[in-house]
Amino acid sequence: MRLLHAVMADIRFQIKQGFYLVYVIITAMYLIIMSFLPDDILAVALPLVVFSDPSVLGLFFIGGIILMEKGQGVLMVLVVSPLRSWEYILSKVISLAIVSVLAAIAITYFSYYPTVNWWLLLVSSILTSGIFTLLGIMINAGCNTVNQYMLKTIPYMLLFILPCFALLGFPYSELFTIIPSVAALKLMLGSFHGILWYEATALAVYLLGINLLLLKFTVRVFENKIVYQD
Amino acid sequence: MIQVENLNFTYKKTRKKAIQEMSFDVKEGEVFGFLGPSGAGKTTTQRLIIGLLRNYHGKIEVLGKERNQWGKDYYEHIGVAFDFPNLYTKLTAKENLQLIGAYYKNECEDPDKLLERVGLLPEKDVRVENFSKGMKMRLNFVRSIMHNPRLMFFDEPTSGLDPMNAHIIKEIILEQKKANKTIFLTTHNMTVAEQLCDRVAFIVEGKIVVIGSPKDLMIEHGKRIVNVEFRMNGNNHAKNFDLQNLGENLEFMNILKSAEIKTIHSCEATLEDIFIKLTGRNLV
Amino acid sequence: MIHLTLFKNDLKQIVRDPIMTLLLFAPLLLIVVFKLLELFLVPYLAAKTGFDITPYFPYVLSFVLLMNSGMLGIVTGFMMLDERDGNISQLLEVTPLGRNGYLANRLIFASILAIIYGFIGIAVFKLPDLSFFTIVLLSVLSAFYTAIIGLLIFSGAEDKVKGLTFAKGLNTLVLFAFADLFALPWLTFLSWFFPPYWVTMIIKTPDSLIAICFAIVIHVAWLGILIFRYSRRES
Ligand SMILES: Nc1ncnc2c1ncn2[C@@H]1O[C@H](COP(=O)(O)OP(=O)(O)O)[C@@H](O)[C@H]1O
Ligand SMILES: [Mg+2]
Repeated sequence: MRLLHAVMADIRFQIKQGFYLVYVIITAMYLIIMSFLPDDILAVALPLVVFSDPSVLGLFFIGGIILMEKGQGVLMVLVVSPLRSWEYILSKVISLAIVSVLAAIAITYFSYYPTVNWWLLLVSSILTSGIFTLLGIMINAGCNTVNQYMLKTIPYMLLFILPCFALLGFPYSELFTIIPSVAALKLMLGSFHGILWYEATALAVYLLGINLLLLKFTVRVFENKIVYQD
Repeated sequence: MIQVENLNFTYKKTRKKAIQEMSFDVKEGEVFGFLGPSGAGKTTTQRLIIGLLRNYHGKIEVLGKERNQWGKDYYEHIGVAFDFPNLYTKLTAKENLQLIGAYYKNECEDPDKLLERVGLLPEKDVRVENFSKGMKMRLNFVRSIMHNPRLMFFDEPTSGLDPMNAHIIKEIILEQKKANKTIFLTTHNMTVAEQLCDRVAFIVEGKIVVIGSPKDLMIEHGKRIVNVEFRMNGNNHAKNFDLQNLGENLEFMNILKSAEIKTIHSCEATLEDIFIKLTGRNLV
Repeated sequence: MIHLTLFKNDLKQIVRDPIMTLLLFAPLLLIVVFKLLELFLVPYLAAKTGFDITPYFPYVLSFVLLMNSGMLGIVTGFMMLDERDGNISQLLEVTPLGRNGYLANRLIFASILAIIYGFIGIAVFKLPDLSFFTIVLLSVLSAFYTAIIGLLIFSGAEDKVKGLTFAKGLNTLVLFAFADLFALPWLTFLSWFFPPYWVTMIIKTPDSLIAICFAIVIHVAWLGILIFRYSRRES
């Protein structure tokens, strides 16, 4: 119940802040670009776009959201209310994942790509979005300004993005799948290009596990660095 | 309600010993005030009891359980108003109340009624960013009591408010007390303490100097005399008389009968005088 | 005089705050990343798919310049938003510097950086037939674009989250740099009104007087309108 209220509040806030509007514009932009790509390039570009923008949007926005709630002091009020820390965090994850999923589906649907596994697309964009939102909350814990936050995300982004080039294929590159972003990208590519069912299941389970672990860890960091001031 | 014994607390980051050997208790239905200059440790003590600071030494028993044994359910029973307004500035007054209210199991008070109580009903649909400081403080205050908590913490509830607004807040605190709620407030304003508190604790540099009811303190530390200023034979005079057996004091009665009285004052000390006398420190 | 001391102060503040120092180098990082992509990914793609990037070089340079100046604008915009939240800007506004002085100070500082990074970007992604005049012009336009983005964020967003939403939306402006690739009449026409289109045009046709004039007019008009709106709304 509390979680549901929190999610609803977050969604309303995001609508007010224009998240949805901005993603309509961004989706339109991508669609214009996509419509000009030949099919063989679209097959690569579409999954990359869905992966790199809608799925990662949590990392981009969560910093500002938490900084604002901290600045207005409402975070303190939530801390002294019955709302649990994990509920607060999960609510952010869910509300942002909804934007991710909607944008991912819209971009994919209107690109008229022939072979999409919609269920897999749904699962992979939720799991990817969750990881990046949680990462953002963790990075945010010690920050006081948006610029600080954006700078701090750079090394994490490099750590997460560079290994993705491993998918281009070179010896032992399979080992990089252990890095969550690579696993997520594999699953995302799979939802467009097809993937063996057991590989997809393994990747999804692995990513779900990473999400849960990160959630647990993020709650700890959040409580130690933001909730308690001792 | 609250029992604190030999409480010690040090801020980790600055190694600042903020609270030292503090002991006191707050009874059910009581308004208990923490009085002291800024930096004395009032807010720190409150935050320890609220549970925003961990790793204290000593005992803090709240609502029948040690503080660090409580889970999040604790917050169903307490209400907190911090010393600065914590509100969603992009939401309206009413939306603020509804949003936070939804997190409590208790049925919350009707937002309109609460807003009416603090004179904000006409502005209920105005975004908080357009509120003055006094309006924000009032909204913040009713937000802390809307879920009908048994125990309330107010940090400097009237600081920075004009007399009118301060009066509204004080009235509500007294109403809550009538409803047998327990209230723990901090202030550096003597008048507030005198008007509201059943008992006050003077605190300086993390230690409690004295605890007592304002009246008892005033009687105990005041001088038992009455000062009379009067005009007699064309000259102004001033004289002190012992309060003891005043009615049998012939000189006093004589002055009352024959002189032109300018002023008469009994000289009980103000809370402020007592604070300075006991702690050697000024408030503020 | 006032401006000079403030610049010094700004520099001091930035040097003392390691975060700001690093952010000022962020455009450099961007240039390096793009150069690496050019050095490694492009030959790889060429070998694998036969894709030849050479005809698209003007667009790459345009993109790098716009990303750089856009990024500096965003950083400056958020710096001013943070200062507004911390009430520092209010403090500065009541000094002899004033509101407009404060804004000018922040924007000019970022613009100077944009000019420097403009030169660096052009030097790294060199196109053989750019004259010195064109290089200077592109750098100056970068400075304008930085100020435009900074002002858009600062005056358009009431808070950090709105600022982020804005920043995200502003990214789509870069699309206009590629508008003529799509050869959609309506899109090209729309692009005329946005600075990124003209940056590409100048790189593609450096000798076209029309492109130069339009580029300058559009940049100045945007900045002018934004400054006008900003100063009118507040008074
Ligand atoms: N978060 C903190 N970290 C370190 N020291 C603190 C912190 N908060 C308060 N202090 C210090 O603890 C002492 C008591 O502060 P506080 O409880 O806020 O006083 P009061 O509320 O009576 O004005 C002060 O000396 C203050 O500097
Ligand atoms: Mg205090």
